[in-house]
Amino acid sequence: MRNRSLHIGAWLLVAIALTAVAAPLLLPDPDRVDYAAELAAPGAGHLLGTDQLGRDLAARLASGARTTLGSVGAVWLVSVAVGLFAGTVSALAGRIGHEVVARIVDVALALPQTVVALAVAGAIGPGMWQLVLAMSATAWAPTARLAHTYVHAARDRPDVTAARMAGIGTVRAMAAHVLPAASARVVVLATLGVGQLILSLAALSFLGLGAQPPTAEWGRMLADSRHDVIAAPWLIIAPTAAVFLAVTSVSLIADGARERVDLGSRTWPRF
Amino acid sequence: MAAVLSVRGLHVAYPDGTRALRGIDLDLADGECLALVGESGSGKSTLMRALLSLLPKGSRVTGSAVVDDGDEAVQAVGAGRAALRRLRGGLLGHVAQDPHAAADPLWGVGRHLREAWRARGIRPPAGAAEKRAEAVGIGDAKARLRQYPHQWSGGMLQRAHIAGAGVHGPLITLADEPTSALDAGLAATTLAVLREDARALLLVCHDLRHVAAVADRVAVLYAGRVVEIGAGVLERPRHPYTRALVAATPRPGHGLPVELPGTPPDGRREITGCAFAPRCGVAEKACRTEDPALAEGVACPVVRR
Repeated sequence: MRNRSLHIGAWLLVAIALTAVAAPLLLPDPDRVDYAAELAAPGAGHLLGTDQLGRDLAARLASGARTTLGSVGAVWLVSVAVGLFAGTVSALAGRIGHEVVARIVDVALALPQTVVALAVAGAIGPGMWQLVLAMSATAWAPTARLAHTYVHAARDRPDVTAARMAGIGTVRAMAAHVLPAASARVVVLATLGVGQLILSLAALSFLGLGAQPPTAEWGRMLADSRHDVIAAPWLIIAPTAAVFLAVTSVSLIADGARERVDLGSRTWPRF
Repeated sequence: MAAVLSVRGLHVAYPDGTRALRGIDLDLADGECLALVGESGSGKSTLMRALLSLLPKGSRVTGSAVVDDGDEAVQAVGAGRAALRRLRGGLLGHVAQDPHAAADPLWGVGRHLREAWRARGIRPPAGAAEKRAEAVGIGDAKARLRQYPHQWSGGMLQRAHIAGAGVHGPLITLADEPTSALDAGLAATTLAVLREDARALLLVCHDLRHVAAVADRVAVLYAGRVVEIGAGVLERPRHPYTRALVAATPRPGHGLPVELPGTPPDGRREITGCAFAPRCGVAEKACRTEDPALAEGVACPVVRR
């Protein structure tokens, strides 16, 4: 089959999304505490067992998918939108405009994600939206640099010149002839980074900089259950498997999409 | 007939200091085809780019180039936004060198053609694009225009570009080597189509046989100047450079082509006397010091005598 990785990745993501959406209808409330069923093993009553407060692990996993994937989606969207905009502006705005944007990008690239997350948590308190903000603050920079490269290289492309000679203004000609292809490539490259985003988000949440109790989030779930690993290994295995599946699915999608969009790079090594 | 384009004293220096044009004077009459010939670096493309304001930022352009359709005269040198809007796609049509490179691979050919209307903020009238395509010999236009550039041959795609350039009936069509990306058989027919479709045509072309077939007049450029201009220049070359250029072209019955030794002068250096003197077979002592003026269609006092 052509482009197998795109298909498998897409179906995997659809399955994860469906589970996350359908869970509230089928599973118990993820935040309902039941001290009678503390650390229950996976079985008939609780499909994946319960955590240290007797909350249903399957329900929390599905609820965590909404938190984690929703936040990652938000960061991804910001990095694509802001990156494309900033990169295009810097490519078209002349030397001063480029210098201003490029220096801001340099600063954003130089800032370590964890430090920004700590700073934001320290300034306005820890939480999921604060974490999304902190991660977005640096995630747009590589995208902007790529967008700049694509758009700048296309300025003097013969088809853009031809459109300008037909009487179309430079900015409109770029928007019509360059942005569609440039955004496709930028989206793909941003998607390649989503796997890393999921891991970073889980890691920062694990450190307590993201979701706050009782919100279910995969990294947070790992952090909360680290004292009960021996007694209830499923508490570690289930969120880890969820992170693994999510990262796998977006990596496959990104790889497949790259193959479709970047016609020139068909010879790239396959991972 | 009135000149639709008059270029006077046009100088162009690129940002690195290279003087690409050193005082060009020429006129283009309404409906006429003027071909620019000369070696690479002689300034042919620079002249085209200067007329379309396509020179890189930081280039110094002086002199004047007026496009005049009888009702209004537009200065193409240092044109502002309003003038550019009048010129590009309006008074001036432009046909690019490589038809495939000049087409957006993600756009259908019909969409490219309709861009000419959209550029002026007009909704393309129904069937107008197809009519234009058929006017330049594209058969089955309705179906063909739905295809993408990669499904077209270079010759046919160049016809589509010619159709696009001519949508608003430009006074002058500028074509910078429109056939260099096509094979020889297609080049001749495509040029004929271009000549047929354009009103006045300013053509840059390397192939002197094609030039002889379509051009009413020929301007020979050397080191940023017109050294010879007129009808029949290629049949009866007078300037030593034109002779060398013609001799370097393979022609049946004229033996092997003769290569012109030497290289054109460095554009960054000041030139005293005739720029061609160092490579010239008939150069005299005065040629090295006296600037040859263009008179009687040739910028060489030696051959005028």
